[in-house]
Amino acid sequence: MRSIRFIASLITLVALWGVVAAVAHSSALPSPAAVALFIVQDSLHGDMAFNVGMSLWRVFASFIVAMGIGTAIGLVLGRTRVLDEVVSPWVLVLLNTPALVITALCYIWLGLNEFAAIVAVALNKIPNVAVLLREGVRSFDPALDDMAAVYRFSTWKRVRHVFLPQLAPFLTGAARSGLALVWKIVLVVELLGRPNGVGYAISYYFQLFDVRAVLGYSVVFSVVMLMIELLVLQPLDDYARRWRSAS
Amino acid sequence: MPDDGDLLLDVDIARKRYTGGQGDLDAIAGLRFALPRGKVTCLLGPSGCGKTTALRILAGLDRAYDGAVTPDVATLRLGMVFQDPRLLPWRTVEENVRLAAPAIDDTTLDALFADLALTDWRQHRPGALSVGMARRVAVARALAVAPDLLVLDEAFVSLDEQGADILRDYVFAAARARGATILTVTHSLREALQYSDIILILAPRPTRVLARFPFDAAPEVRNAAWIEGERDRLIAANPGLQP
Repeated sequence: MRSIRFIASLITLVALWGVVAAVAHSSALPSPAAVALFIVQDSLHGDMAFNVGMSLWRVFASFIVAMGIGTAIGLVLGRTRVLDEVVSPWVLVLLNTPALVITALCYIWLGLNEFAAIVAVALNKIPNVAVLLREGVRSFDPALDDMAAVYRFSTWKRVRHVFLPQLAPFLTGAARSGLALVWKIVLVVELLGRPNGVGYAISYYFQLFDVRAVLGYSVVFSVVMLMIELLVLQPLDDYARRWRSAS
Repeated sequence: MPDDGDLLLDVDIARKRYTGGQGDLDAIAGLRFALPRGKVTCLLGPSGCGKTTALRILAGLDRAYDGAVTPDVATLRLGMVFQDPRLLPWRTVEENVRLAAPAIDDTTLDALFADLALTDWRQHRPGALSVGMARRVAVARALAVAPDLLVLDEAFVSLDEQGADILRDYVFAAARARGATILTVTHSLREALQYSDIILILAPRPTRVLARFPFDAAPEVRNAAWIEGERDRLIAANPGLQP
């Protein structure tokens, strides 16, 4: 029932778009059919597959880097109060620095290359992951720590059976919000300094005032990201929280 | 004083002080007692006097104190039933017990679950259990490790009286049968008299032992009349005690 409502909602959105486009009758707002035709043509004969592939690679690489480093920082800050007091202001500064500034500085300092692009995206996401994971660690139940100590749980047993289950909802939450943030920043990074990718393509077609292509790329990339969210991250999140509902 | 036999543990907490923004607070000052092997020792004292603090020190959960617990409790098999069950909510009842007692064999575990009426619940997670059942799982976990020392920190609170009585009877009998030494904390004088070999009356914070009462009456002798007589004797000797 939930999925039927979800699909019905999307169909309604496309139908509304179609109606507005028909009424507007302007090249600034092409119809859903025109955009769909562009997607098919560019997928078969153009660079869409290559550009989407390049963007996906950047999303994947920067997501892994941001989750890895952000998680490590969050765990350390959550467990060590002194370090938290020292490092938290830095995290806060990074958290509030505009993505555009971080991207521009990375390109200036590291050059207009793939490494700088990945670093820029990761740097935008790391503070967010770190803060979420720090809160996760802080919310650990000390009573369970005591229980594990009394029953002499080994370090590995504690990590696996006490810490990770408490951390899992924060990890999956950071991953889900992370993906949503990362793919948007990837487009900005590509727009500013990469010769390919969805962000680059949108920038290119924007200069040609080809709204049909701009919308076509946006739709395809959004759908791919939505699929990753629905087919990978949401099931992972459900798995991490399964014990709350199924007793 | 009757012969206590050999001692399992000697507790000497000279001072336990909590430091915080609102000033220092002494929870324990000069708390000394011994736990005779195989006996039930009960700490009886007013709320907030430092009983749980003492248990945490004794269980090795708090090492920031002046004094010594000898031998180190790490050398003993320890079972502990906390004030709340402290089960892992993402693991089943059976997994909770097996994680604490990986060496337990299937037959012993089956018997333990059967004794505690948990057989039908062993594959359920704690979220599906009532408070009483969760407490029984905590008891099963503590007994499953075949403890040298079983620590009961107000383990029967928030249970209905009948359920608490049944569980108390089982826990003390099962622990005695396994040869465990028991240290229990309670507010209930009746519970203390019913099951204890030694009652230690504790002072309000900072706590220390005010009086020590050994009892050698057999369990079957401890009927309502006996408990009432002993209770009156204890209250007469310690007017601050709550009946």
